[in-house]
Amino acid sequence: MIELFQQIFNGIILGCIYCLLASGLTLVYGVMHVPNFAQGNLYMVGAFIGFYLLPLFGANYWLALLGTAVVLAIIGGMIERILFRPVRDDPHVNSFIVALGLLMVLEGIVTLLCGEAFRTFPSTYNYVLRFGNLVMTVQRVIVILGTAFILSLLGLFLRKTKTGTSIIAMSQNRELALMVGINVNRISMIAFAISTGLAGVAGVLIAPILLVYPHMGMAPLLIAFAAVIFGGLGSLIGAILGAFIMAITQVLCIHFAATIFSNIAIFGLMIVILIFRPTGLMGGD
Amino acid sequence: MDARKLKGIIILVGGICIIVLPFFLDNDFYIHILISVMIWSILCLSLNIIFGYAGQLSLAHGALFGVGAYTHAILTMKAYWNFWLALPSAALFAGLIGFLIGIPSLKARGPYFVIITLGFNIIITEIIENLEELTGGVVGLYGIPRPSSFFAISFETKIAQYFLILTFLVLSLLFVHRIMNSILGKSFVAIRENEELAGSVGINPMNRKILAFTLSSILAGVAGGLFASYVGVLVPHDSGLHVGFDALVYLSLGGVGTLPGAIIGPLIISNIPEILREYGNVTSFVNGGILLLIIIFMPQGIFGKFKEYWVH
Repeated sequence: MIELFQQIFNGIILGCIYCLLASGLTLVYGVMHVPNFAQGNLYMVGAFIGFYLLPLFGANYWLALLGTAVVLAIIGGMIERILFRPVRDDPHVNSFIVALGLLMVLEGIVTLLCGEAFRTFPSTYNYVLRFGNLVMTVQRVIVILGTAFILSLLGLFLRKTKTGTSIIAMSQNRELALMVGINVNRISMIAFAISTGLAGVAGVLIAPILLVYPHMGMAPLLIAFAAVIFGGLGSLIGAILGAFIMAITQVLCIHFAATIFSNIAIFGLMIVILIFRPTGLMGGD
Repeated sequence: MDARKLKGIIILVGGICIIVLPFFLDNDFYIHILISVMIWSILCLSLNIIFGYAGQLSLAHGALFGVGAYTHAILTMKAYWNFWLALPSAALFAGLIGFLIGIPSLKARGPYFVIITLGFNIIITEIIENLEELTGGVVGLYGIPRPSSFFAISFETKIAQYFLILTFLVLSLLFVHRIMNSILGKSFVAIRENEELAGSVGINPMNRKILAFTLSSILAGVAGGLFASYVGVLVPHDSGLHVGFDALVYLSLGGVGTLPGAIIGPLIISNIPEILREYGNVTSFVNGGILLLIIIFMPQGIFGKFKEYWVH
């Protein structure tokens, strides 16, 4: 029984990471109508940048985390400006292909620069806490609290600031948002920068727990997409809920069956939802 | 000179070159490069049916290629089937898998379809990796037999392999050409251009899309089967997502929705990573970079651009 609790706890940790990735995906989809296939690799790039920033900041984890978020947000803004904006008025599928090209290029660059080796992220917070029989490292608590903090910040930003409400307005009704004078270029760039920033934070949060390597982005990508589809592309609350449901499904499958069934279960769930609710459980159009 | 005559001359001259070429290449490595270009071309033709003509961007083609390759390998290695029986069976099995994938995924549109096919590719590769008794797991399959002799023709030399695969490429070209010049092919294009409108003139978009996906899967299976018998070695990586991505890169470079595009693309870039091998694994970087440049600056691809100039 305690083992099961431990697994569910691990599921919550994974859920936090999927949450950060999925909120980025859904934000970008809402504003730009692009399913950002590169989100998983941006998370990978985040983990690598954190890995190299850590020694620069005297092994201060928090500075590395902040630094990665800033660097990734800048990269994200540039990506939107250089790659996505030129194809915005082309057929929709072209922007999907840009996202795929970005996925390949990011993986290619990291493989060329850093090699395909697995790296361990030096962890400052790997000492163990005990709650009764439940065992966890401080890093895992940091993942949960950090995610909660960042998502609350994101929520506040989206509701309380003018830019945030513009992002929501654009994902609710693009034409109307244009009519009331929202600057599409600016909002798209900000939304994309936030989304890549979130991916970077996710990468550095999980890096001390998992290994860092160029292919680490593919597995979370599929699950984050499943989470977003579960909630409906464009819905933030749906994405967060979906992320935890997918993460818990994943750990329970691994616990009770085998690893291979976890992806099949998650994916099966996604297909069933799409067949019955083609726009997700909470999605509008 | 009108376009028809020019087309005839290009096909004739190109055909003669392709038949004579291997006899002038004294190095097996060049023939190997041409063979892999032809296998990629068949996969690009396959992607062209569903993406280029029917307008549905499938990311599952790596898996369909892999299903064809593994089915062919298992049938020839474990069941001792003849190449000439195993290849069509592998193609049909890939078609069946494509049909089964197509039913749920084609119900979804736009980004949802793309994401589902991406998921199917990951799942199928995982299944291949885990069916260890059949597929050899992560270690893969070794020693897949070469095609057995066809009457008096044996396929032991590189040149013989070249002509064998060339034959399949020509057959695939004729197959796709025949489809695209029929009512069926025109209905695919109608769905790509406007699904609602196609539906209102009596085309059943769902049936046609599933048919396009199945035909496309069969051709992907042919490419996979040929790959397995030519290379002789298979690992789960050969059915990975990147296979479908690479085919998409080559097709985009050559020209999506055109027949020559499916050959021009692989001919130009499919071997760049092989040539640059000494600088490390540059495949994703080169292919991804080319894909980005093409889609931003020349989305119609090389042959599409050529056609534009010719028309104007």
